Order: sequence, then C-alpha cells, then structure tokens
Amino acid sequence: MWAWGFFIFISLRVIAASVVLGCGGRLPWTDARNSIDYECRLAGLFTTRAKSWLQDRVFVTFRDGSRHELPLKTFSEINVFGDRSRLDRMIVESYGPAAPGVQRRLAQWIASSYPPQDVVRVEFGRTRWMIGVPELATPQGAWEFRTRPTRDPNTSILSTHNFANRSGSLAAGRSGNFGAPVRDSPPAKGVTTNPAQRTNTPRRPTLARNKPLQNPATSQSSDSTPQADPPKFRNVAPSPTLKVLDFSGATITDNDLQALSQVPNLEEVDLSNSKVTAKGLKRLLILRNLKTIRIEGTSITKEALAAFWKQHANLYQSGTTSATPLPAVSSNPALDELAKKP
Amino acid sequence: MTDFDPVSTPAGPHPGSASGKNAAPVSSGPETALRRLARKSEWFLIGPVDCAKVDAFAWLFTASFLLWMLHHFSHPLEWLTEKGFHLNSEDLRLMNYPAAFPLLNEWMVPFFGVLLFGSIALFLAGLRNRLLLIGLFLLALYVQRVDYMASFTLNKIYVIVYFMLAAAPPRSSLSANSATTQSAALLRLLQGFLLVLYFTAGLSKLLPGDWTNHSDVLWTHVQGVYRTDFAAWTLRTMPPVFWTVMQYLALGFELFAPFFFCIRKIRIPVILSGLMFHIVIALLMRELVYFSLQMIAFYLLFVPQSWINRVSFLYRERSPKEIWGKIRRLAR
Repeated sequence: MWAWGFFIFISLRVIAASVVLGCGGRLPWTDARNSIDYECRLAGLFTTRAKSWLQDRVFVTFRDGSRHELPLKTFSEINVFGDRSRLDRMIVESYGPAAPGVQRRLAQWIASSYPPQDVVRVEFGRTRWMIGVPELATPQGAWEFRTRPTRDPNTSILSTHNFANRSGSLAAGRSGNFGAPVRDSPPAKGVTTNPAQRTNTPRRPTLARNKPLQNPATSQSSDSTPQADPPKFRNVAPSPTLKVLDFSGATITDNDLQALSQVPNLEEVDLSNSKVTAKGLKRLLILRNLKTIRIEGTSITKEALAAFWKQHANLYQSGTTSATPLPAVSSNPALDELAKKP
Repeated sequence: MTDFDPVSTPAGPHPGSASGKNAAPVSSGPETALRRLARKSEWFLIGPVDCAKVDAFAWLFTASFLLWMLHHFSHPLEWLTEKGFHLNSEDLRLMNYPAAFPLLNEWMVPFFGVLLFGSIALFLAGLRNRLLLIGLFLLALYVQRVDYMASFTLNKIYVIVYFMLAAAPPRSSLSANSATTQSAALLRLLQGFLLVLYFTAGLSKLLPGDWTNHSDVLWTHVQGVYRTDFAAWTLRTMPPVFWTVMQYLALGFELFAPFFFCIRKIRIPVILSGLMFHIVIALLMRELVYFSLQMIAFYLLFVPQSWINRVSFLYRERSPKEIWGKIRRLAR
C-alpha cells in the first residue's frame, strides 16, 4: 500500500507536473507561488536563441564628486550565476513591477556599505552586448566585468538614487529600512558624463561587512592621507529640485533641520524614528510647499503636529485653515480634523 | 518491458515461483494474459529490488550536495543573515516566488553549519535512517528558500529527491540472497525523474523554444555570462559548423536519451554520451559543474549491478556503532 501510494503520488504530482510546467504549460490546479509547483518547474533553460547578453552596472558617486563604476560582485561575494552574483540576479529577475522597490532598497544598502555621508548617488545601469560583437564572439577569456562608456547607445541608466544625508546605522536584510534618505529619479537613457567624471574601474575593495567600504578614490591614495571631516547636513548644497527627504532612523536633531532652507521646494519629509522634537518641527515652517510629514517614533505629539500644520497654513495659504484643505498629516486623516479646531 | 530496466536485479524470487517471501501472490484460477501482465507490471514497478543502486546514487548525489553547500558556505553571513542584501516578501510576491524562510541570526550560523555538514557527513559515512533523510530534506528545503537568489534548478532537484528518499517505502533484509531490499518504486521513480528531466529540457527547446529555427543557438549561449576560459578558447578556434553540430547533438541527446536508456544493449554507450554531455557543459559554462555532478549521480541508477558492487565500500550502509568506531579510529 505504501509502495503504491508513494509511486502514484510522486508520478502524478511531481513528475507529471514537471513535464507540463517545464515546457511552459499550465495545469488547472497550478499556481506559480504554490510550493509544490514551484519545485516542479525544472526544465526550460536556454530554450531560445540569445540576441544579446546584459551586463548590469552600478555607478557610485562620492561626496568628493568622483563617480566610479563598481561590479555588483563588490557587494556580493557568492558567485552563483555564471560570472554573476546574487545581486546581479536580483536586478535581472526583478524586471517589471518589483524593479523600483528592489533597486531603491539595494541602492540604500550599497550606500550603507560606505562610511556615513560618503555616497551621494547610486545609479543602476545596464549594457546590452549584442551577439557577435568581438568581445563576445572572439573573447580572450571568460566573461568578466567590463566597463563601457555610459554614453554608449547600448547602455542605459535604469534608475538613479540620490542621498542627501545618511547617518543611520546599517540595517539590511528583509526589513528594508536602512536609514538612508533617498530620492529616486526617473530613469534616463544614454546618460553622459564629462571626461573628468568618466567612469573607471577602481580596485575592488575587500568586502568586510563589519567595516564600511571605502571610497575607491580614497582607498587608492596613500593611507597617511587624513580623511576629511564628514560634511554636516547644514552644509548641504542648495537643491531647488529636491522634493522628498527621508530621515527615518537617522540621528538628525532639531538644529540640523535649519539647513532645509537650501531645499525650499521640499514637499515630503520623513522624520520617523529620528531625534527631532516639536521645537525642531517649527524649522520646517520655511518650507512653503510642504505637503507630507511623517513622525512615527518621535517625541512629537499629534497635537504639536496639528498646531504646526495650522501655523503652516496661516503662513502660506489665504483664508482660514478650516476653509483650506490641509496636507496629509502622518497618514492619519483624523489629525486634519484636529487641526481645523480653533 | 524486460528491456525497460534489466539493470535492477530483483532481490526476491520472480512472481510465479511461490517459494519466496517476497513473491507476488499467485491466483488459484486460470491466469489470463491481462492478469499476468498486471502482475509483472506490479513486480516491475513496486516489487523488491536490491538497495545497492539507490544507495550508490544517494551517496554521490549527497556528495554533490556537499560541494554545492561548501560553495555557498564560503560566505555564510551574506547568504543566511541580514548582513547580506535580501529580497523582502513584497519583492518576492511581485516576482512570483513563494514566501521565503526566515534568515538566521549571526550566532546561529555556526550551529546551522554543524547541523548541515554533520547531517551530510553522517549520510556519506553510511547512516541510512529515515530521520536523517527527513533532516536532509528539510535542510535542502531551507537552503533553497532562505535565499531564492542563491538557489537554482539543482536546489529544486535536491528538495525533490530528498523528499523521495525520505518518503520511500521501508527497507527489508528478508530476501533470499540476504541483500537489503526495498520496493522498486523508489528506483523506478528516480530513473523516471532523470528521463523526464532530459525529455522536458529537449521538448522545451523545440516547442516554446527555437532550437530548430537557427543553427547558432548554442553559439549564442556560450558567449554570455556563463563563459569560461575554455569556452572562450573554443569560440576563438572552432568554426561555426562545430557549434551547429554540438547544438543538434545536445538537442538529440535530450530528446532521445530517455528512449535509449530503456534499451539494454545500447545503455553503456548512452551513459558514456551522457557523461560527455555533462562534462562539456561543466567545461563551457561556469558554476554549472555542480549541476553536472548532480546529473551524473543519476547515471548510477542505470549502470550494471556488478559495477555498483565494486565500489560498495563507499556507499554501503553502516550502523551508528560502526560509524562511531570509524570516527574514533580516524581521531587516533
């Protein structure tokens, strides 16, 4: 009985499903996220002629303005995918709706690998190597990381992630909260760099997750060169186009918010889990276009936030607060009502 | 039917000779051709067979699992803990993956390593109890699902095969020739699994794929991210016709091997062709050596029993006492 039951279950549920799913077919009871069906999708590799091979690239811009291209293997040492790492595979497979979230979190994680405030921008790019080009058809060796100018027509920038400030501690994994303020820019094709900023391939830094990575430019210079002091947030460059700032988890204080006068068009600020108090909140009154503030995990009370919005509305909007729709307040519509009270 | 699998030697008497304990029951009435066929089929599919072939396969299969895990465990913190970047549940949902298993804390990693490699070592040393097989199945499942980005088709095969080994009918030592026997169901399913893998791989290159529409499909795949130094040398030196021939040989092997494996007279050449096929894959494509080794392990299910018996010192079942004695001898 055991033998027959075993034989029938494995034959019908596992092996038969492997044939159908492996050929790209579907079964009425199958579901891509079903555990057994996931295990049964086995074959179907290298089924069609390749027209090109993709190489995912990451460009890191440091505080000193230098822009470096780094192989993703710099940040992931398990080689699991030909000459690709786990991170390469994430970017390849997250193509579609998952791509923005994965790239945003990965950019934050990469920035967190360096000393605080060292990285100001992370860009993901992709170069398409067409089949038959000499680098592929008559190669001198195994596939390896290879640079190509970003103005090459076969290279595109998938996404750009700017970091205004970062002082939170590294917290990777599945939580997705790195404490790195980030602003995503829409993807741009064929981004060019001037010769001074042309990408190069720095020596691969040793990956030791207990220590932050070093700016490749710095790490290649003499060890005796003193490190410059990390810039204070109040020294931030004017940025009239910046709309969103994420300070969640960062160790910024009330005084740091004074520097926000440099970003007058800011529309959204996330102060969650920071040290900002109700007193510091008043410094945001200089931001006339502000629409959203998040305060979870701070000492700021809802009443203080409501009072802030009321004052903000009185400053920048004509009429009374009750006649003017208030911006979203910490994702809590009830606070709008609280703010309307005289 | 006899040509399908003559390699497995039935451990008990054949149905019809009612003298053995493992013999299929013989009906008292006149035997029709249909009934005889049913009885032979039952004998073929689930009758008792010597465990040696499955044991030899499981040993090499587990050795390949050991190498694959050693490869991953070179960077355990990136792989298993929050030190590495991992996809969250929303990412996985959008990418159509089942939910991931939780990551480990850093302090758990050494214990997990001991559990993983200890279980593999005990199996390779000869312990064959069901509890250990269930443990290997759960470990294979965990290492697959803790990080989908570090797992591939071969991880799925480890999960499926360890499940089959763990859920297989119990063994017995009651056969006439005193060999350890087990229902043939496990052997047949493992053999069938390999043939299905090959056939499906070939079929998917034909039906959704375009391997017969172009003569340079293999050439285009060798150029990419899997390219090894050997592949680069081959690309530089071999004429296009070489790649076309290789392409159709590979496709032909995947499509027809399942049928060739069933014919006893040509089985050895087919096995040698398969070995060549996997060695060439391992040479041309980086990191696929683990997959090749895993596939080659399946070939032990098809080789003659006498070949298997010659290396029985490697895979034979040992009692815990025997294993402990061996460890103590090694420690001295």
